[in-house]
Amino acid sequence: MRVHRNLQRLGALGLSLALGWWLWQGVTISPFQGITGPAARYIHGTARDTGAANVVAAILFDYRGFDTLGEASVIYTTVCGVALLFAKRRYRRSSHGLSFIVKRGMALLVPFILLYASSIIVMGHLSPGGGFQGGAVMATVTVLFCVIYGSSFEAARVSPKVKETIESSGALLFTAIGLIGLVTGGAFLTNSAAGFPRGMMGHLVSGGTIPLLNIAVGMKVGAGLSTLFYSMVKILEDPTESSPPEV
Amino acid sequence: MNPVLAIVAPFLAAFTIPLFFVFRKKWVGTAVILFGVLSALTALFVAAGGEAVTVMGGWQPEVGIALVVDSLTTAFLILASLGFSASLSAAAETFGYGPWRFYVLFFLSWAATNGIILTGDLFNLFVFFEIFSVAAYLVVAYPPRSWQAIEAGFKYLIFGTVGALFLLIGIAYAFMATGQLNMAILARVLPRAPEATLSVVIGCLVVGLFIKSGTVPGHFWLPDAHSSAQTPVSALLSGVFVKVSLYALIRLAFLLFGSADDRVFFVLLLFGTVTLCLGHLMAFQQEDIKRLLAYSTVAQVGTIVIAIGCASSGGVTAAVYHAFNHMAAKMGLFLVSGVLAEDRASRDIAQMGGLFRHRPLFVLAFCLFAASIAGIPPLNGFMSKWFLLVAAAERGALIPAAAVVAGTVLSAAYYLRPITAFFGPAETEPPHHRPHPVTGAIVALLALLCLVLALAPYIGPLKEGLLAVGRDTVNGARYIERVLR
Amino acid sequence: MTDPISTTLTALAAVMTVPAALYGWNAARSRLYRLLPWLFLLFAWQAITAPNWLVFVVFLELSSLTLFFFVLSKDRETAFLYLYSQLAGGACLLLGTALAARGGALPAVGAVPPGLFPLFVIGLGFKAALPGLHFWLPPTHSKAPAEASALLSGYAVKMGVFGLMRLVEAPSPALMAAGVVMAALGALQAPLQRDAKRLLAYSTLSQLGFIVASVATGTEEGRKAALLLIVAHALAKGLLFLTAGSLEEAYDTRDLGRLGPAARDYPLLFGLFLVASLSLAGLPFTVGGLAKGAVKAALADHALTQAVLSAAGMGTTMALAKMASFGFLSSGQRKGTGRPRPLPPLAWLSMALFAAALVMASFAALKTAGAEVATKNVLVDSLLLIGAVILFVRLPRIFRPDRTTPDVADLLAPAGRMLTIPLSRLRRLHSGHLTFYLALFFGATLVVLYLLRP
Repeated sequence: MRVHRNLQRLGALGLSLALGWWLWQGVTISPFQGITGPAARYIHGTARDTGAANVVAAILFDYRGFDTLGEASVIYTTVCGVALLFAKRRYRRSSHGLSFIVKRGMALLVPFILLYASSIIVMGHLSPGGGFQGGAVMATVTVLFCVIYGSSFEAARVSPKVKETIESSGALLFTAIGLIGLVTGGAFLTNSAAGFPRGMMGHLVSGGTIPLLNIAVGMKVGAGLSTLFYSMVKILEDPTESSPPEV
Repeated sequence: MNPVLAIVAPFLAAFTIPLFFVFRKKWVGTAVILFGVLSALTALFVAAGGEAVTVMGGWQPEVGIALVVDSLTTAFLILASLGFSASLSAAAETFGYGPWRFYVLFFLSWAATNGIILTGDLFNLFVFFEIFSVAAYLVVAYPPRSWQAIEAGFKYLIFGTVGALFLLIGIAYAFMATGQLNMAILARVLPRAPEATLSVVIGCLVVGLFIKSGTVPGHFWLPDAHSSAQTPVSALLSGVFVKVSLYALIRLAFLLFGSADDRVFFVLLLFGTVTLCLGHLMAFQQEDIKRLLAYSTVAQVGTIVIAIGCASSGGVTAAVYHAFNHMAAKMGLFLVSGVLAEDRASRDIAQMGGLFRHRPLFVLAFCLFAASIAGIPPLNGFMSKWFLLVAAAERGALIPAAAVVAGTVLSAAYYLRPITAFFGPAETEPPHHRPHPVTGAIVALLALLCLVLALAPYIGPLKEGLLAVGRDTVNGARYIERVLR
Repeated sequence: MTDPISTTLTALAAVMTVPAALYGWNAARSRLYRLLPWLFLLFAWQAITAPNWLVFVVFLELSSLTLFFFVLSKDRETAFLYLYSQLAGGACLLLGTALAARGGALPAVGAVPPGLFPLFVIGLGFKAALPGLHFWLPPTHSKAPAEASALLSGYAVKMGVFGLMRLVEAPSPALMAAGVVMAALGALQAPLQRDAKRLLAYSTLSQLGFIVASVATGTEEGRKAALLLIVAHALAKGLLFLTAGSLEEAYDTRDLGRLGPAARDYPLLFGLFLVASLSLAGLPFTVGGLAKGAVKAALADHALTQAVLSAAGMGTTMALAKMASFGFLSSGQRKGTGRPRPLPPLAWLSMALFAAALVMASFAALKTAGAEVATKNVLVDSLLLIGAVILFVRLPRIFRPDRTTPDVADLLAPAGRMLTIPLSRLRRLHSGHLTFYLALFFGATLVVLYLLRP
């Protein structure tokens, strides 16, 4: 039995090595001849094309904004699925929290976390950051609520329906901006060509749709991650949960 | 009509249904139906609009993301909208509108499917594959009460993730070698990449799509997922989801790999043949009717992969035609067997006695679909198999062609088992008698579709359309020129 | 395509179908069953007049499918066996047609490229029951309803032969050998059967051997002789199957050991039986005798074949003698099943139609052949016929109906068991171990990468 197991491991090792070697010998590193292709366009054209200071944000939300809609939708799908799979009618909310000091400390911190998250989202086109990152930070607030005050407090403050609404509205906002571009600019997600103000580079109002899309993604991701955590945590907190439910 | 609307319409549905649930709970049902109609119509309008290229954000194809409509896209858009509409109606009857999250996932997968079909950008393809797969894992695992379904969804998740990984590696290698993501540009510059890199790119993409489409040996998730999922979902999985991955295989094989030379097509022929044989032989041994259908799907995937491997316009025509035939027939089979299994409260073929008396029309429809899949002469399955045989003969692929015809005999053998059971005597009366008017209507429409498809080679426009799909698809230069014009 | 062959076969189809449909009219379970013979006729016509192999295959399959439903009404297992075998043949033909259509138009019904000849012969062999591919014939013929057996033996297998007639344009020694083996095998097996319809089925096999051997000469003369024998055999065998069916109808058994004095109960039936069997056995001046003479004339250059066929003809005679003696003339073996059931008038009518067709065919054949040809071998043929009957009478032990003989159908069950072994291996592959699946998948990935290597 043991020999058998070791043989299996050996086989797996061999398989992995062979596959790794094969992938490795396909790697090509051509001598650097300057940046070419779309990358060059992104680097040299971002300021002119979009007015955004952050090239990454311009790629994410303008040049390849459609991918971002897709990626945000992956999160949306996951959230929806987790909520579907963990949907249970009856569960006990926990109102146990941590100590008083932690609760007060948290209360002091919350506004600052929210402010920080908003700045990451809103200034996504100026500095590193953006909707995904800011949304994740925003979600930590509800996670901390759950940990420190207990999930019943969290559910009372930010009810699942509100999160649902924020998440869907974010997604709808993204689509609506895209559709505006389609109507006025001729292509889905058209930015400055559709009349969105390009603004002065480096100013808060610049980059056309990029800040708006950042906000939309921030809503989607923030509310989504929060729902995700909440859906899973309520399974853990159910003391009656012992055996898997019957088919 | 702008092609992007075919993607946006289902997305809008998925984003709005939660809002309806929160604010106007009673309207969810209406919204689902309306959005279903809207999505189907949009996709059909896009398909009817003819060839089009649009780039997101109004950029050039090189920097933006292009959506391309050509004849292959048109064919698969029609296939997807037919399949999704049928499945949506069946789901609405089976589940009601209570589980609104299911419909959200449903529309997300619809949007992703249309996205995969329309996109002309390799990374965008991957993104849509991600949405599509995540939604697929989840609809398979629905409803969460059933542990088999959850297990099947988990297995699908593991395999699908491995497949996605390979797709991503392939795309990354292609990007590393060329710095491009647009498929038309890649088709031009990828052949100049070093041979070793090229082989890794092609290998990873092919293998990733093997898993997504359920080609051996990436098929292990498929029987579990198809048989454990709820009936409308099984129909959707078999009818549309599998075909979408095959669409990607057709597109990439002729656009990106066609330049590589015949090795790719040899691989497709080889694995297609293995898939076909294994699917038929395994289906032969199943006792569970939905598992039987699932393995039959594996075999049909093999058939389509063989058709792609013929590397000719005739082969692509056969692949697309067979995809349509299989969609119509297999969706019908899953829907009928779902109804019959519910009546008997069992999926065991041996328990299926006396159902002909119970539901004669459903059983007759089952016979029609089964005969069509098996390839009994005047039906649509036979027609597409004949197209395939001719294509394989022209390619000189004797063994795959022989496997296809041998598969006909085998599939007749295993489809006769449930049919015999249906017509056989019953020990007890079926305990359930729930009426299924909507499913019945869909089954009737699918049967009609089968008959129309059987006549397709004799109907001028349809035949011309099918041939055009083959011609345009193998002509990669035309695609490139249209996108980069 | 219209030529003597297709014209004759088209007419023969109608002549065969009408009595068969009449015979089955009363017994039919539902109206749909009454439709089946006419559907068969339609498909058979289409197949015979098909312009290319594809159309031929499609309608051949459809005609098999109608007969499948016929057989299904009586015995399910046999019907499935029939269907699978016919589908297998159709599959081979389809593959061959696709290969022949490579890079051009659909191949016309006729000669095919030499490389594809074996494939077509195998495909048609399933239909025409060439040796080794005949496993479906005895069970199907014996267990089908009588009218379906008549159509099967009288016409369906002949469609396979029709394909061979079109296919073979040069002498084919292999096919000739197959024909000889068939004739000998059928003639050896037929007299040893105890099931009346199975006996007739093996006799069909033997007669098909004559036809195939004649076709295999590849000459015009051989094809003409084969065509004549097809007509003769179709009419005679159709009538014989209907009489056997009537016996079963009347006495509820096909077992020659349990049938009794039918000649006393139904003298007319015995008369009809005699008409058919004399023609089949090759009595001079009947269409059967003339056809056999023509076949032997066509095979003039093949002395060995001729000799074997003559011996096989004796076997046929002995088999028919056995059926006459145990089915119609034996006396006391039957034990009290009461009075035999009366036969419906339609059955008499249909048998009378066959007999009339047989007599008319004899006259027509005599007229065409002329007196000289007809009287050429009268003496030898008559001697062979009488010799066979004498042998039958002198060797009663061999032909006792309670003997069991080894049969090709006995091989089917072990063959099926053999096939399940690799199948169960395959099933064990799907064990449910995710790690194993993934390992298999990664292995396959390596194979793909290896195949794609630069």
